[in-house]
Order: sequence, then structure tokens, then C-alpha cells
Amino acid sequence: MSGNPGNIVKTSEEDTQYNCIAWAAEDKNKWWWPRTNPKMKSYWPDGIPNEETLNVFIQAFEQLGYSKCSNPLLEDGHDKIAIYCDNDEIPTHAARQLPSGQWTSKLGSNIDVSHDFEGLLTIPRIASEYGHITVIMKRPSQPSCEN
Amino acid sequence: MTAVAMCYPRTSQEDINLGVGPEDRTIRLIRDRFLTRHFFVPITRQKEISYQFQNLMRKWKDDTMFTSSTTKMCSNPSYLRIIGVGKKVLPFIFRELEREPNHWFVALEAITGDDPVSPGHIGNVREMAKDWLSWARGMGYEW
Repeated sequence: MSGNPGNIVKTSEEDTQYNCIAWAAEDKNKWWWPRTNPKMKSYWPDGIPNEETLNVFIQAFEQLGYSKCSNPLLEDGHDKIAIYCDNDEIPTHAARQLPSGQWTSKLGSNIDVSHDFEGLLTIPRIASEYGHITVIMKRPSQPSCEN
Repeated sequence: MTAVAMCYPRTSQEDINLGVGPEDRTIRLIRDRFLTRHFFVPITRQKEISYQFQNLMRKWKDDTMFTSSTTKMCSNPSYLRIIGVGKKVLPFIFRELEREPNHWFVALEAITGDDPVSPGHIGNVREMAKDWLSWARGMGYEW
């Protein structure tokens, strides 16, 4: 217990093909991030502004059928995601709830992990980079399109 | 005499003055060309860039290990220093891109001024890497 307070478990090898936002959106083929510079070659959904703001990230997930909700508890028939922001309210990370109630995250270009809701924030380096969980969103469960 | 000169190249003024003929001059010429072309200049320069690239890349990867933000990845100081090396670093980026596709696209466009990524591949790191490697081969780069 004390050795892994966030119950963080590696669930994949490193993969530079997709990032946390893509993983939360169940897309393992693209790297999702607003193109804050036209030279950047990340994917960002059509019609959503290329800005690194919380509202824009919320819009991106709204386009996938999510809406804001108040708690991270497992709800039958619903998918949930959590958006993390730094102290300037700039989005840094997103995690997705698994059917077990645990959460899953892609750590940048690194590995996938499963973890408790606030489990990632038990690792100081990740906590300093990801900040805090700012918004939770949910949608009616969709058939999984992973892999 | 010739065999000794080949094994133990002489560089003193006295040796030069005591050259025994065209054969000796040829040996010295070959030795000087060899040392100049294949040791003192290109290999050391190549090593410098390779060493510099590997160090900067390692630092960039370490700094951005958990980062999803392409803004942060491409404005990281080590990444910017790689761009600053200029065209000499391209073969090393292409080799790395082939080994492990990663976010080298901003750097490549900044250095080359070109953008061979197909619009349909934007966001797909592996496909964008293929686009760039194909461009590099077409331009005659080797890595």
C-alpha cells in the first residue's frame, strides 16, 4: 500500500503515436493537441479553436458527447473523463475512467497506466507537471473503439 | 626506409629535408591527406554533432517524458538548441525519426523550410515520419 499509494500500474509499453488526450478520447492513432503554432502537426478536432484553454478542451470532449459532471464516481451506463490543469488553468492532461472504476492515463509519449482517481498526483514529478484535476465530464457509455 | 616511414610517420623539419625521393613525398602526402580528410576534420566534427544531438535529445526526452503538450515539447530549450545546430543535424534527426517516430516535425520544418507532411497525415506520428523520411531520401540525405 505505502509503496504505491496511487495504485499506479503500467498497462502498456511506451508509444509516441498518441498522447493522453487521444487516449481519453479512445484514439490510439493520433496525437491530440491544439495547434498553437501552424507548424505543429498535432491533431485537433475540426471546429474547435487551436487554443490551450480549459474551455477549448471542454469543447473538444463535448464534441465527443461528454458534458460536465460533479463527481468521479463510477456510474452505470456512463463513461467519464477528467481534465487536469496547471496553476494557470492551462490543460496538461486527461484521464479516462475504466469500467472497473479505476482510471487510465497515457503519460505523454510514455506508457499507459491505470490508477486511482487522484493516483497520478501521488508522484511528485507528475503532480508538479499535471497540476490538479479541474473538470470531470461524462457521457452515456459508448461501444469501446480501442485498438 | 620506406617501411619505417609508413609505420612511424616523421614530421620533423629534418625528416622533411631528408626526403629520399618521390616515394617518400608520396607517403607523406598520403599520410597528410589521410590525417586531414579522415581524422582531424570530418570525423571529429561528425562526432561533435552526434554527441551534441544525443545529449540534447536525451535532455529533451527527459524533460518532456510525461508531457502531452506539443507546445511545451517544441519550445523546450534542448529542442530549440537542436534546431539551432542547423542543417548538419538533419541526418541525425532522420536516423532517430526512422528508429522511433517522434515530434521532430517542427524542427525539421524550421531547419529545411519545407513541409512534406500530407494534410491527411496530420496528427499521425508514424505517417508523418514516413512522409519526412521519403522527402529526405528524395533530397539525397543519407543517415
